[in-house]
Amino acid sequence: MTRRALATLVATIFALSVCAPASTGGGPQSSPKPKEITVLQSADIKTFDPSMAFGSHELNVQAHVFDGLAAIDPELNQKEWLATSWKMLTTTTWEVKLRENVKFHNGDTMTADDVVESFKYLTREEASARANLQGWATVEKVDDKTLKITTKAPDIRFFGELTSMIVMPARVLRSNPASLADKPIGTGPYTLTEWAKGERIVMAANSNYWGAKPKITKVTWKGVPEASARIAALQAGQADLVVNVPPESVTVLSSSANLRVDSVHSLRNITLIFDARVAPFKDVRVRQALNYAIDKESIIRNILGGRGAVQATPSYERTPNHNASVKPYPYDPEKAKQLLRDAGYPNGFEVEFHHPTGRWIKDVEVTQAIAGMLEKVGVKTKLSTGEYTAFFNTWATGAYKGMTMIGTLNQYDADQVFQLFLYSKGRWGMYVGADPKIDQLYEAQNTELDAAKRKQILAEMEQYVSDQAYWAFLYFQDDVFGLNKKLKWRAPSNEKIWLWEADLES
Amino acid sequence: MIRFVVRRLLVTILMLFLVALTVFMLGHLTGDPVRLMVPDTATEEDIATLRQTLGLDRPLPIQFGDFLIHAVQGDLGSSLRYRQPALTLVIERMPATAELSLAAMLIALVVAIPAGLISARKRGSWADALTSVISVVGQSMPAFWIGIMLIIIFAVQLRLLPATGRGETFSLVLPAITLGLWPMARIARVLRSSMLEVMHEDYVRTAYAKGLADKTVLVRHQMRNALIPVVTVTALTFGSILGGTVITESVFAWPGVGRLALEAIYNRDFPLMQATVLVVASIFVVINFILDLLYVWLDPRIRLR
Repeated sequence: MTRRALATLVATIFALSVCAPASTGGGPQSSPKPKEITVLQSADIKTFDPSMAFGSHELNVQAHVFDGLAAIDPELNQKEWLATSWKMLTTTTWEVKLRENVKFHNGDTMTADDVVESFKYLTREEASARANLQGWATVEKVDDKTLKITTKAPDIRFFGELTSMIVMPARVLRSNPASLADKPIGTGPYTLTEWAKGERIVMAANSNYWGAKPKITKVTWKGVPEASARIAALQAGQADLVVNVPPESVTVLSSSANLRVDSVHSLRNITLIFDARVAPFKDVRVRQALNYAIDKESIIRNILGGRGAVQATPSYERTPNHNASVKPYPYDPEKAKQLLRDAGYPNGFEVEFHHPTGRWIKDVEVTQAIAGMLEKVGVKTKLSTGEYTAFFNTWATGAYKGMTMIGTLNQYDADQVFQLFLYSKGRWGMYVGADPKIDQLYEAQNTELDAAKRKQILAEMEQYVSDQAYWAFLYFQDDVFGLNKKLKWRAPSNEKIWLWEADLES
Repeated sequence: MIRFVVRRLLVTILMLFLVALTVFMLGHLTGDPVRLMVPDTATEEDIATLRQTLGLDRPLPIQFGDFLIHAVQGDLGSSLRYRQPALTLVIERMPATAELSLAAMLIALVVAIPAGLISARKRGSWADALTSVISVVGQSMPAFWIGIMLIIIFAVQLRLLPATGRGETFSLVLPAITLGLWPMARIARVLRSSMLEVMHEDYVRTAYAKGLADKTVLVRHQMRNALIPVVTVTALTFGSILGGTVITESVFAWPGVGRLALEAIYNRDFPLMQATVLVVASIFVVINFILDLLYVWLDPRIRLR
C-alpha cells in the first residue's frame, strides 16, 4: 500500500466517524421491505420436532408451522384451534370434533387419523412432550372428523392437553418421522423455506392456511443470546422485534424515531420461598413479618425502572382461577418488628438467603435491597449467590436453609403453582413442610369437575397461602420487547410470539 | 531437514497429549462430573449407578487412557444441553470461526506489513507516528469495546454494515476488523523494530555497495530476514485470535465456536466445553507446527542447526 493510499484510507475512516451524528435516524436506510420481518429471540432452536420442543423460544418458532387442537393466545384467551368443539361424554371420555378443510403443507387433508398417529408419536418413550399429555390414555378415531379421547382419571387439565396435542401428518409419521426435525410439515400459518442452522430460520406465509391469511409474508428468526447484540441489530434496522430488552436500554430505544418498546406484566413471578420446615420460618408470625418488612413498590420503582407489578398470591392476575380479592402485604416495618417480638425474636435473627445471578431482571440488586430492608427490622441475612443451573439444582433437592429467591411461571391454571411449589407431594413442595390444609384443598380441586366449585376451592387456597405467608410475595417482572415502530404487534404476557396476527405498516 | 521435521512432529504430538491431559483434568478439578450430568431429581443411588456405568469409579490414569482412545476416535461425549455429540457441534460451528479468524488474520497482515515497513523506512515521519498511535490503540483497547464502537458508528449511525449475525453480505467486515486489530498492531510493531535492526546490518550495506536497486535490497535482503520474527508473532497471535473469538463472536452474535464455548460455560455443559477447548487447542498446536516448517523455508540456518 502506498503512503497516499494509506492516508486516503485513514482520512475516509475519520471522515465517516465525524459525520456520523449528523445522519442519526435519517441515514441511508435500506429500501422499504415488503412485509418481511426479522425476529431475534435469545436462543437458537434445536429442532422443529414438536415431540422434542423445549423452552418458549422453540415453541414460538414451531407454533408458526404446527397447530394444536386448541390454543392459548398471547392474551391468555382459550381458543378452539384444529378442534372446533369438545364435550365430556362420561367423567373419563370426551368427544372432539375436528375442523373441516384443513390442509397440511404437503397438500394432505387433516383427518382423525393424523391426530391418532400424532398422539402416538408425542407420547412415545423418548418424547419430551409426553409429560404434557400424561392425563390421556387413548385417542381413537370415530370418523374422519371425530375423535374419542379417554383420560386416565377425571381430567381437569383437558384443555391444556388439547393445546399440547400438536397435529402432524400421519403419512410422514408412518414413513419418516425423523424428517420433521428439519423439514417440518404442519397445518400452521407459515411454511419453512430455509434453515441455516445457527444463523437463521426463514418462513413464508402459507397461502392455504385454514385461518385468516397472515399479513406478514416472510419471517426470519434468529437466536441471539447477547442482549447488547440484539439491541444493536434493532437499532441498525437489521431486526424488527427483539426479546428481553434490559432496563438500561429502554430509554435509548424509546427515544429513537423508528423504534418503540412494548412491555407487559409477565407470568414470571419473583418470590422468596421460606424453609418453613424449621425455625425461624416454622412460625407463621415470622413469615408474615418478613412480608411486611419488604417494600415491593420501592424495588419496582427504583430497581426495575417501574416495570413490574406487586404480587399478592402465587398465581398471576390473569391466570384462570386467580383470586383477585387477596391483597398484597403492605410495607409496614413497625408491624414486622411487632410480629417478630411476638414470635420471640425481639432482637431479630440471622438467616441464609440464597439467590441466583443474572437469571431474572436485576436479581442481584433486588436481593441486596431486600437484605437492607430486612436488616432494618433486625433480620440479618447471609447472602449466597449462585450460577443459576447449579443454584436451582441444589434448591430443587430441598437442601437450602433459610430463604431462596425463585421465579415461578404460571399460565394454565392457578393450581399449577400449588402443584409444583406448595403441595407436599408436589415437585418442590418440601419447603412448606407439609401443610395438611393445603394438601386437602389441593386434592379436592384436583378431582372437582364442577368449575364453579373448583374456582371456590382455589380461591380459598390462595387466600390461605397468603395468610400463612409461605412465601414472601414480591412482584411479577415485566417482559420488555423492542420493536420497529411500523410493526403492529402487542407484547404477550405468556412469552408467546404469534406473528400471523401481526402487520407491518409500509 | 528430515530430522528437524520429525523432531517438531514429536513435540507437536507431545503438546497434543498435554492438551488432552489438561482438558481431562479440568473435568476432575471442578468437582464431580457425574453430578453435572444427572437431573435435579436424581438420588444418591442413581448417581452411584451412573458413576459405575460411565466408569468414573476407576483409577484416574485408566480413565484418562479411555478418554484418549475415545478422543482419537473422535468421540468426545455428548453435549448435556443439545443431546448431540459434542464434537459434531464444534465441527458444525467451525466454518464460521475459520472464516472469521482467517479474515481477521488477513486484514491484520495486509495492513500491518506495509505499515510496519513504511514506518521503519521512514522513521520519524507522520506515517511512522500514525502507525505507532494505531498500534498502541489497537493493543490497549479491549475487543468488546472496539466492537461496540464499530457497531455504533458503522451499523447504527451510518447504516453501512450489518451490526450482527452471519450470512448477509458484508456481515464479516466488522467482526473481522475487531478481531484483527490486536494482531495487526502487534505485527506492525514487531516488523518495524526488526526492520530497523536489519536495515543497519553489514550485509545490507554491502548489498547497497554492490549497486543493487533499493527494491531488490528491500525484498531479498531486508524483508527476508525481518520477516522471521513476524512469522513467530503471527503464529502466537493466531492463538490469541482463536481465544478472541469468544468475545468477538459474542459481541457480533457470530455463530462460531467461541460463542458455543461461552454458551457451554453458561450452561455448565461440560462435555461441550471440553470439546471446544480440545479442538481449539489442537488447531493452535497444528498451526504452530506448520509455521515451524515455514521457518525452515524462510531461514535456512534453522535447517543446519
